[in-house]
Amino acid sequence: MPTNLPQTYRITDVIEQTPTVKTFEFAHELDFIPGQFVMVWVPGVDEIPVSLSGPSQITVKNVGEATAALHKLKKGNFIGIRGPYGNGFALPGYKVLIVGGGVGIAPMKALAQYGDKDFTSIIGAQTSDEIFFRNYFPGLHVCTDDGSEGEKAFTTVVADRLLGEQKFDAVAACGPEIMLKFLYQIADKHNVPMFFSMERWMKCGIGICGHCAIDPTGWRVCKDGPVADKAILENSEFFKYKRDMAGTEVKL
Amino acid sequence: MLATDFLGIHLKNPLVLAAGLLGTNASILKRVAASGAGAVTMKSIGPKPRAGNPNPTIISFGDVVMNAVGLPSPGYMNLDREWEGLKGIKVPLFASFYAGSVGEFAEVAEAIVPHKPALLDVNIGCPNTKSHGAIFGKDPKVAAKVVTAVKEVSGKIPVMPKLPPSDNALEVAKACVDAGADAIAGFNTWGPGMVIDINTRKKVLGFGTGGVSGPAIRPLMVKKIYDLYEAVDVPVVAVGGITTGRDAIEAIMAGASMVEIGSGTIYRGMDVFAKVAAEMESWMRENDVKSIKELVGSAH
Ligand SMILES: Cc1cc2nc3c(=O)[nH]c(=O)nc-3n(C[C@H](O)[C@H](O)[C@H](O)COP(=O)(O)O)c2cc1C
Repeated sequence: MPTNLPQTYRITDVIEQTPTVKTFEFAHELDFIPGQFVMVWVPGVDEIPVSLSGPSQITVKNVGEATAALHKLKKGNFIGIRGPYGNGFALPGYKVLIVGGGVGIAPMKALAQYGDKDFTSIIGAQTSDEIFFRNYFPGLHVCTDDGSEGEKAFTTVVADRLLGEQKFDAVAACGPEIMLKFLYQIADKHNVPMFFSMERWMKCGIGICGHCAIDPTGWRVCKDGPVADKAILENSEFFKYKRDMAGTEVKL
Repeated sequence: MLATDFLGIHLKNPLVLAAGLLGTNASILKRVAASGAGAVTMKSIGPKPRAGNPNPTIISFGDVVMNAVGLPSPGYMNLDREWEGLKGIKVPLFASFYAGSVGEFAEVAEAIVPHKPALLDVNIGCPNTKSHGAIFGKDPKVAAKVVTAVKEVSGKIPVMPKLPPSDNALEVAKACVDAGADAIAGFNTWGPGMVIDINTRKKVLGFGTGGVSGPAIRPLMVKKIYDLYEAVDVPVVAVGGITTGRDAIEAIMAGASMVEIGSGTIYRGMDVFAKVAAEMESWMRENDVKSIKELVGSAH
């Protein structure tokens, strides 16, 4: 039986990627598929799902209590890891457009680094300060909201242009749900298969508590996902609403 | 062959999704229904929105599952989408619920009854909160008061308290039956237990402790169900560590009319129900057993 108990490993390195994003390397190598995630336990505080940015690496933005506690950890401290969980990216064809927005850049880096495809990449953030992992992305286009680096445009605008200019076999993306909402429409318009890494509140991470199951299919983000294709995304709750920790509906 | 009747509820098989696993919304309940369960139980519904305990809330290792989810619920007043979604469900729907006082049990039950679930599963057994759950299931007098209050508003819907596995479970069960309980389910999770990470010297579960379920507790459950069958004259439902057809038959022989599966979904996936049903059928065929009813309590 697989063990679903956090295993604690020492942090071997902490890399400050941006003022709000840190990468934590830990002393254990996981056999993983890009797009898969781990449940990361900050001992004594909380446990959160985080997509792997490498086999011994997670990259986390400081957005709340748990991530703030994680950001306080230093080289030599322990973090707990269980997983990897979920499906990961399984992409058809060869020529793939990667789109990463904000901290969604992190899992896309794993795909760019370990995926065996011909990648073209778009990464974006509000400002140049928040762009990271530049060196891992082949055929890179950088976008910033304020024009401080690359194009002053949303990633979706550049994606629309590239999909119009060249023939891609798939679009793989991770980022804010609002970005994915527009990217869905764009990929659909260009008739390109899409694979988006999605997020919902998770508790178990192994597909049994039901908390991250979406309407109307009951597709579990943690077990059947987190990477969703068009069939899962269309006519679903994605881009419309989600459920909070209690299970109460929250409009997006 | 597996079809059976439970308090007038027709079931294609006696295998029920236990409360708290996969039952959080209508979409996933329908998916479980389609994967072979005879009936499904909704995640316990609470008196108000409640986030539950911090993660980690669910862990497993070997034959042990531990949880301290802590009864998250949107509250009975925020379930319109789920009730609407559940209208088309193909198997009987059981509604589990909890509350923080005897009066509140009646309040929650009263809100659930108009949606006509096939059964009211009264959660007086959860060990993972300080103010709800097992505190109502450990004292026979308190448990009886809860059952009386729920029976007053339940109309024709059968009422089944689900007990914690306490030392006095038989006494509690008898008190519930005297108060009008139509069936008794045993049991919620055991313990609670604790796991400490030795590198950090910290308790792993966010709540510190967690109820124990999974195959490891099955023999404890079987013994208590065996005793319960002799102690009360209403149908008994077994839940705890059942993952195979053999396990389900064992629990039925001990006295269960119906069995619930929760942690089994970790070990064998969401379609554990179809797998267990197939295993039961093949055993029954080999042993020339024609119906579940023949097996109930047959080890006594
Ligand atoms: C993750 C998890 C959540 C649970 N939530 C509930 C709940 O909301 N209400 C309830 O009555 N029992 C709850 N239980 C208890 C189960 O319904 C069941 O009684 C117990 O787990 C033993 O059965 P099993 O070994 O088949 O899991 C929960 C159990 C688990 C593992």
